Amino acid sequence: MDQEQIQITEAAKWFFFSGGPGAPRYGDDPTKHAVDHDSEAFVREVIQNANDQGLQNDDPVEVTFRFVALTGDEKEEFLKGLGWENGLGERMRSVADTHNGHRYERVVERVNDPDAELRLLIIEDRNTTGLTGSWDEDSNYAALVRDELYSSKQDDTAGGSYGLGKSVLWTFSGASTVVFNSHLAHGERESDSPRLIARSKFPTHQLPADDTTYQGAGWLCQPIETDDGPRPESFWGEGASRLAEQLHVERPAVNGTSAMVVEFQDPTRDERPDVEELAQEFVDASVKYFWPAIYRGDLEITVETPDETLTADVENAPAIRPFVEAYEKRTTDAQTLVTPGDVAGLDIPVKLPPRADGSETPAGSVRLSARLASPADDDSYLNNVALFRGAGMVVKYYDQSRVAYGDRNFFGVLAAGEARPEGAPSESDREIDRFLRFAEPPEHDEWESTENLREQYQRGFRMALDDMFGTLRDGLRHLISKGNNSESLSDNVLNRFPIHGSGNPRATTSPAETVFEIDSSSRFDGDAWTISGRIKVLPEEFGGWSADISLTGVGEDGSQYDDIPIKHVKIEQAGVTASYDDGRAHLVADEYVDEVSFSGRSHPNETADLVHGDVGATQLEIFAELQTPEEDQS
Amino acid sequence: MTETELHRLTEDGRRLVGESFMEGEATLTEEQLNEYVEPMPGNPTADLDRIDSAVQQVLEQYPEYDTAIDGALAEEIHRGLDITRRTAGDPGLWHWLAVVRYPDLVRHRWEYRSEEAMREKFLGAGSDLYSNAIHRLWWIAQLTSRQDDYSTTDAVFANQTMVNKVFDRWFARYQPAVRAMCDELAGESSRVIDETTRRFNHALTNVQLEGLSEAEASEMIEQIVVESR
Repeated sequence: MDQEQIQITEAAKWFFFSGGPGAPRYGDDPTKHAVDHDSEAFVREVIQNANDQGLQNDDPVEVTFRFVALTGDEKEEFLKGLGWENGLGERMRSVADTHNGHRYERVVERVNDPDAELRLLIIEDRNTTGLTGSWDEDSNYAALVRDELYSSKQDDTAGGSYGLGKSVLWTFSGASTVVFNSHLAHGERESDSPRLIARSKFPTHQLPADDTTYQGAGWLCQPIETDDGPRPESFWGEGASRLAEQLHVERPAVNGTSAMVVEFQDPTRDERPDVEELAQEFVDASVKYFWPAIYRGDLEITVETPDETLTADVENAPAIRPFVEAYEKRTTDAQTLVTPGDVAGLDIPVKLPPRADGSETPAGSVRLSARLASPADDDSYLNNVALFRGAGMVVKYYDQSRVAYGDRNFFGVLAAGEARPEGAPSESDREIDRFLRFAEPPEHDEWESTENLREQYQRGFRMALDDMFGTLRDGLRHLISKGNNSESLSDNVLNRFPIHGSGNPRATTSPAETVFEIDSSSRFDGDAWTISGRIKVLPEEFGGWSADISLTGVGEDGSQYDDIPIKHVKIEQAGVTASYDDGRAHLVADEYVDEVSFSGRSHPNETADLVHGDVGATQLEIFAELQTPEEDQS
Repeated sequence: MTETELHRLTEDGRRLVGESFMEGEATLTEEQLNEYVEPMPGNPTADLDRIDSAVQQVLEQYPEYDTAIDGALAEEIHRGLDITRRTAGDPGLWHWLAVVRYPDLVRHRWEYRSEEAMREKFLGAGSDLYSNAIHRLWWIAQLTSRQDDYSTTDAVFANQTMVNKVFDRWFARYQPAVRAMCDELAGESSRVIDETTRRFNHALTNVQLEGLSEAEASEMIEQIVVESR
């Protein structure tokens, strides 16, 4: 250790505010009790915090969990840097003596036992904002280092909005102490990076030498005097770098934060699992909850132990892969599932109430897709629907086993908000994302009616959620049901979805739903199929429209065969042209035609035989597309 | 002949099957497996010695990934496993056979192309005839043999297009139709097999499959084969 570093370490002090007489006393950090505390919850909260702080560029957020085990001289050196003999050790011994402090006794023992190992967990994120801002303002820094239950997140799509998630860092520290080292992406002191500070969260305590009652929060810092009294100030630049190295929390000079949990331990476990086991749990939890973000290339997660480096890879997680496939193919036109592995999907209309300030919200939809399970699939999350939005974190696996029957098991995905489209999100996607974010409770594991929703939206938010889930369940039932006979669907389902084909005419009024009313019939008259139908445009204003009419043979097991070529289609109205391509009829109507009746015939096959596979179950499909004056819409 | 009691791998046991096991880089110890292996309901038994020696012979005599392995083993597996369809309907039995008894055979017959595909060979079964490596051989033999006559079974396995196109269809569960189909298609080209199975599947939207006798199915398929050529 050279001269300069000795000075830094000496300047480093543990600073605690004195509570003063009558100040509230905390038995322990109150936020520690607010969320479930298994290591899965830890990984979820920590990654979500990093994911929310992602910079607005095309690069992914990278998160590395690094386990470090310290013994002997390394441990000594680390404790020196952490100021163990410079305030921290004394505090912890005092706290351990109080009736709330038993957990700290074990840490004190571990520190004093030369053979015991000290376990550090460093969570290093890259391509994130870093701890910007100062103590006295509303900033990332203040939210993490100063405040409790307070959030300062990037934008409306962020995963968290409660400020609770970060508390898990202290919950999983046996010493209730976390060190931060950060490279700032912007702000006044960006060029002074890195920035280092450590924070402890103890119960309220007294020291044996004085009568002062200290608040539980303490900082390893350079205390400075301000007009408002003493304040903890971070270490900056070269000094911070050197201390970071001593504390094993050094990081490359890229934007983001490294947080180090001192003496990592899972508060829900009695035993101390080995690091390899923990690493695998971390990888599993990362993939389980963040596969949408990983799949979209927005997030990369690795876990390092002294012996190996593991990567959270969606391809190598059999329990998750079926969901990834359902998401990958979510835009499919298929609405029926025939063989295991098939994916089918539906739009679930969502109608939001106006915002609290009275501004109207656009109607939109979320995308439901389901993949039919095969017996070979890993069934850990069988018959669940993964719910997520733009942040790319699975909010929950929604158990819908009631919908499954026989061998019709499935893996479902509800891609909402900015996670729905393949390209740029629409205005309604963004609004739905925002709405659902406010519908998440502090644990971010549900979409439900919350105080936040009440503050942000007018009445009707509860019904909007109930409707979405109701339609989701009906839609799922439709996708999972066998066969594609739309007549077997309940009116309830028919009224909710824009499904065309045979059946009774039906109309809906929501702009996100059907824009056509379609009625059709088909029959085999001995040597050819005759078809007829009516297509009616529902909106009053439109810029013209088109429709594709096709006939497809279907097998006993539901598999679809080649098109049965349509020979001609006759239309009564003027303003409509018909053309034929590859056996399909294509109608184009101008903006003055709001209803068309057609009749037609397939190419005749005089030798057609019912038992030799010439003629059989046949599907008449009509796919119509409407042009609004500004844009295309189906 | 010695009869061995049959077992099943429990659903939780499926999670033991990971990538390295399927690739043959790792093995599962008895200790690991014990917790997840249980006797079959009704305690059925089978002549596994017979299958053991047939498998041993195949491993020694056939090159890896040789499709001829199917034909060489189907009859032996079916004769060795003289079980009811009810017993055969339990996926756990096939998982035990593939994962615990004969993992080397599965790896010898099926090249590891992707985790997903290989998983199906070890852990498929249930209503999908074509999935689990051993289940597939037993069921195809079950559906195509007539008492001691396995000539149709042999004909099917001599042509992988037939295995693929016939046994991937729903009608393959109905024995009279599947026997008729296999007999009529013996010796036909892949194109004819493809077209005939497609047309038959389409015709079954008009004709009730389970109402057909083997002779009626044969007559129907014979005509379709002629039209498909």
